[in-house]
Amino acid sequence: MRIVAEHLSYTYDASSPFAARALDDVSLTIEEGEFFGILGHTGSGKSTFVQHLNGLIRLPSSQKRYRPKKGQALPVLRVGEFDLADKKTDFKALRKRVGMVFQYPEYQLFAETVRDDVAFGLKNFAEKGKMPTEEARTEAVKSALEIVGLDYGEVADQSPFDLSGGQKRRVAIAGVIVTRPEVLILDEPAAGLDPLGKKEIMELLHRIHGDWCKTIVIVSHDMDEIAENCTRAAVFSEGKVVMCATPKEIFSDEARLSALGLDLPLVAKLCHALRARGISIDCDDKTEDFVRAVLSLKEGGA
Amino acid sequence: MHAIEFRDVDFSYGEGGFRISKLNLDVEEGEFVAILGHNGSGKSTFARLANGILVPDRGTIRIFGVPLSDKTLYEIRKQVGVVFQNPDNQTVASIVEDDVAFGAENIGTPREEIGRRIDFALGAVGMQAYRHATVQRLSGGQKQRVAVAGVLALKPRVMILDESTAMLDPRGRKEIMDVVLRLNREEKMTVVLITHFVEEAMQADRAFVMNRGELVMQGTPREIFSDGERLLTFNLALPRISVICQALNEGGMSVTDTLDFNILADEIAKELVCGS
Amino acid sequence: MKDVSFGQYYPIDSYVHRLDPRLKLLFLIVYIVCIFLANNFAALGVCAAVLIVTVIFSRVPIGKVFRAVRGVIVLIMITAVLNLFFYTGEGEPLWEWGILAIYREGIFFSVFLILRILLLVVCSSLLTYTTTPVALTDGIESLLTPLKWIKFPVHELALIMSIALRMIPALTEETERIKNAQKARGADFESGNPVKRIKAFIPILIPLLLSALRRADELGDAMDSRCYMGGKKRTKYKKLRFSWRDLIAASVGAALLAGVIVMRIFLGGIL
Repeated sequence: MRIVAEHLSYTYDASSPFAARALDDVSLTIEEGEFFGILGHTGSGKSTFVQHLNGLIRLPSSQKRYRPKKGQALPVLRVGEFDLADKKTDFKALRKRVGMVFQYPEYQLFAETVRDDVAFGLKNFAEKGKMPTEEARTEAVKSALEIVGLDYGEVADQSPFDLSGGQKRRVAIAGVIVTRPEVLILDEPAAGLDPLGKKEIMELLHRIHGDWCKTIVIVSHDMDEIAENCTRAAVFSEGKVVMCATPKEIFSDEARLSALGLDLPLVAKLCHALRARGISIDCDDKTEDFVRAVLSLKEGGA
Repeated sequence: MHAIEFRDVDFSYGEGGFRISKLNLDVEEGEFVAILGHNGSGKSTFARLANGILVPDRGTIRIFGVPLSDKTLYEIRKQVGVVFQNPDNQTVASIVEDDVAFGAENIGTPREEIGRRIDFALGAVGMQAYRHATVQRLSGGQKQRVAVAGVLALKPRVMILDESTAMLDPRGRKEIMDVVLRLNREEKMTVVLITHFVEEAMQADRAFVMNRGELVMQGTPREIFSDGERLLTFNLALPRISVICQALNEGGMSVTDTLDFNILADEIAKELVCGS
Repeated sequence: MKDVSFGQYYPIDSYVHRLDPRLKLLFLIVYIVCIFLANNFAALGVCAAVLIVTVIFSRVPIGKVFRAVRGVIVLIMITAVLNLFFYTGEGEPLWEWGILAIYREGIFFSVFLILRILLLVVCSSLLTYTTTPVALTDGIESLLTPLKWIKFPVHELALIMSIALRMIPALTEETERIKNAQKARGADFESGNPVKRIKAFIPILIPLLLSALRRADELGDAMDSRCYMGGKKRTKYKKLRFSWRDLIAASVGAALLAGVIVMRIFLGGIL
């Protein structure tokens, strides 16, 4: 599913003295199959943007009492065949196909067993009269737990609250991907975990990406995470998209990033430092790629 | 004199629960110490033992030579301030200055003195301009700075930060680190920083690694991070730069393991130029 | 994201905003007493005049004031209609249909009642428009201080109120977040029969409850480590102080009360 957004704007508490503009004329396209990164400081509009993508925040034109204002560019938001600007859109059907993992998703676990919690979405999204059979549900839960790296036999009957922090988070992710959404959006999936936990989460996202979920969108503060994992990324600042390109292109514009108060990933820092020493390394800002490029230079030179 | 001294401290959360065993650990006065460890290694329990929120099963804890007991509890809490992880769960009052005042009010500080302490504490964290602001409207980093100010108002000599940067964005993390470094260098505050972030731990004078409730490594951060193999056995990830150094060396180069990207760039440049 | 810590507070600076919260609380009590002591239109008119002047001095937009009234409009209508039809006056009814009858007194009485409720609502909402919940808490704590003599836990009560005020916005935000997370997993809170709808809230309530407990736990630790030992020996940084403004407001309140009593004695009831 291709995601196309044009001229999205959003203001919180529009009528109060505390009105805050969160999105300001945002246009952005995410192609099917991407591992897309969204960068920016807290309050830059990242989270507001992604909540539009599965209709948790609705476009004004999709609401009941909507009257268009004159002279305003009409916002457009399409996810696959869903037109989110349309009142008649079936938002539940949309949410089934666009999964959303919020920040600290382990705090949304509620059921008595891991099995029930993961199956929650499965039951909710079942069409009327088409509730999947017990076996089908078990099968779905089992494969969801396995792909996030948990052993079904071991955890299925446990209370989710008895698991460790990293395990809880994986159960929560399983609970979203169990319905096999085509697009998976994750708001800071690795926040608050220890480095090993972070690494495991990113590995699991790569396992899901492709067969399980065609498109993955992550919101992150971590430049290394974006550089290592994403095909393309957008930088948000004060409600606007200020850059949108491959990580390599984004991180080559050091001056622009530092003006935005954003740091560089380690590999980009190394590349810049080497360029200052007269050595140009052609690589993708990924650790592996960098090592390969340096080693081939060395061999080529020797 | 040690600022914090743990001698054979045992602690467990009920039968079969998590435990700290035979913990021996010293933090010197004026020192900046980082504590590393994977989730559940006992780092947070250490913080809660050090100012008497948790009571050890066995062993002694001394703060500036004074053993921690029921009698000395409040004296010691005045000296050892703890800043916790979640910026939303540490402030008692809705308005910044009221929250900073809370600790000082608790120990019966006279009114005028509380006013002076609020000035000092908010100044130390650079939040004077927010004195009358609503806590809820602040950013994560600002909320944590208010939490630090709330601890400073008690005039402690030791400050423990229990993953206080874990929930912040990079900007917020930097704000807290700037404050902590300044307190350590200018106010001679003893600082214990519990963290997952390599860049933060690198700023410390010494680092401890905890695993399953035990102290398993100690030394300068540089020493600790250069011992990659041992770090991995304690479920800690290597810093990304060490991964690069290792991979380059495995590929036939010889660069010294460093944590500074400028030094690594120098080394790579040298290798490449010499090689050709 | 609505900031509940401010409740209805309208954040501007005005004469009324600056009044001591204790005085405003006392003024509200006196005012309510006046409204109920007033038993003729003249007295009620004086009450209304005082309130109108106060609203003007508070600089709260008139629209805001009416918004507060809108919330109770149904209640006002019902009370008025009931009184209109069921008040039995002397003399001939003006209109009659079965058990329903309208008397001249009924009309007067209904209008009088509407006015009373209106004044009550406007005055109390003016208090919340011009006073932050924090200041109100301080005011209540201070007014209740004498109760310490009978071992009433005034300090603890005030602390509970202030922590609640501090935590409500965070929990509201959290509720919103959990609700959205469950919605993203297909939860439906809007359709189905009442039982189904109540059941639909379990996936919100359980995480919320756990979160509240976790927060309480962490906050407890944070308070402990900042040497919290209960109300004893504790000092207080903020002291409420009366100023000339409060003196003027207090005189207005006293004059109003006296005036209403005098009118009650000398003018008699509405009828």
